[in-house]
Amino acid sequence: MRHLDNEEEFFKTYCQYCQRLDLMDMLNDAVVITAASNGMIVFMNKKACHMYGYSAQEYEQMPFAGLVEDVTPTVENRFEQVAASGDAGLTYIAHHLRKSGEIFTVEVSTRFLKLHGTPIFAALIRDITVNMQVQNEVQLASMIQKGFLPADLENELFSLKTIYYPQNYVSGDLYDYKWQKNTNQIYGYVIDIMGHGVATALQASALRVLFGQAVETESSLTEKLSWVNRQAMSYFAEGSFAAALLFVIDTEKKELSYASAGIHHFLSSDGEDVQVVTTPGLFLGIYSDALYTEHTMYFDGEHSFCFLTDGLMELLPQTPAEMPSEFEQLVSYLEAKTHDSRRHDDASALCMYIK
Amino acid sequence: MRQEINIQDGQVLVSLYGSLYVEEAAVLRQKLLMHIDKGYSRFLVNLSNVDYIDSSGLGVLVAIHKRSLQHGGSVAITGLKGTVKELFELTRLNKVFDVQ
Repeated sequence: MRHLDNEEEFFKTYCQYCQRLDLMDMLNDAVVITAASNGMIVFMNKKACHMYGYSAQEYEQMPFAGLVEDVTPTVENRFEQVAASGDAGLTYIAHHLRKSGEIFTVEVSTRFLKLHGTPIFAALIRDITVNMQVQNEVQLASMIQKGFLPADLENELFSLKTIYYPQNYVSGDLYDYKWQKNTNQIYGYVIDIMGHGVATALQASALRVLFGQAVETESSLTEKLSWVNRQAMSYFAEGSFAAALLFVIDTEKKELSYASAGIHHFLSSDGEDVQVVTTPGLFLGIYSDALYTEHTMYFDGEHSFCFLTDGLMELLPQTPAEMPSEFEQLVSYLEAKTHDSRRHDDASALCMYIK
Repeated sequence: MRQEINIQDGQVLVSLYGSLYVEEAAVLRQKLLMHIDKGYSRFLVNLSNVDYIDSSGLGVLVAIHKRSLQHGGSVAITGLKGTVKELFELTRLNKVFDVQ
């Protein structure tokens, strides 16, 4: 401790509110106390000494600025911010410097206090280097995952618009389509893994590959779903599963066929009315011999379909008539719903307008 | 969500009350898996007092179902009604579990 002859004097001067000085040393987070008058460190607990690499003798000669690598804001500016924050204190991310010269990322939670009449800055400091690395990786994964998604499309036969809002960077939702020009058929699927986060994003990517393969095979929708389910069983540890809906639209015959594996609803609009179509089906990844059912509906003229995941579906009104029936307006309406404060899941939609 | 877990004749009797959301589901999952680790593999889950269950709640039941099957056991569901019953029918989970 700085400028003090012994531990007993430190107690009297700075730590009268502590039962014991070693209470600070028992903490698993680094604590650094800095004199507000001159910015010099007056105390570092053992965790802080270990984290920064300084001994007690060394830190007694150091300003707090000696721990800080960031140029802006300056340490003085930061202290001013902390002093202005009052009882609320200030928590911020910064780059600090170990004695070895290694720069690392920390979260600093600090307050301006008067201890025994002496103004100090008390800071609780956590090394969050690993957390930041993980966060950066997740952000990168998010960008990669978005690259899997199809772009909006407009052609003479149909319009395609999509909605994609992960709850946290990466999503357990994925969707895609394949337009087979020679047969006027559009195959599409929507995937919704239970939960949201990195693990679900991996599972969704695996399912995307399987659905991509299944769509290429010459088989019925139910056979494709059953095949995907069998292949996917090993990807789903106990308790996890996926919902999906596979469909094919024949733009010439004006026919939609679909099979559900846990996504039980989609929207259908003839431009006048919006309907919620409900279809049962067992999730993927629960039972290897699960059977699925194919349904077909026919439509006249122009028609819109929106295939949604649960996170979006549960935000919609009970009465479909409250939703706009025109395609662009319906997509905008769904898009707006993703900003609903009640949303607590990934929310995605694959919307198609057949001309 | 309130939960009661009792053991009778080697069977784990689980009674749930209220709505089962993700937070409660995680705790319930831990408790039930702990029973399997202790050697119990037959479960009877009473959902008659449950008014809502989300996908993570279903995930708990699926997890217990899968693990208990591995140990030669089973999960039976009783008291399905209202929206929870509809959910089981829509998801076809009524075909997976022994619904009594």
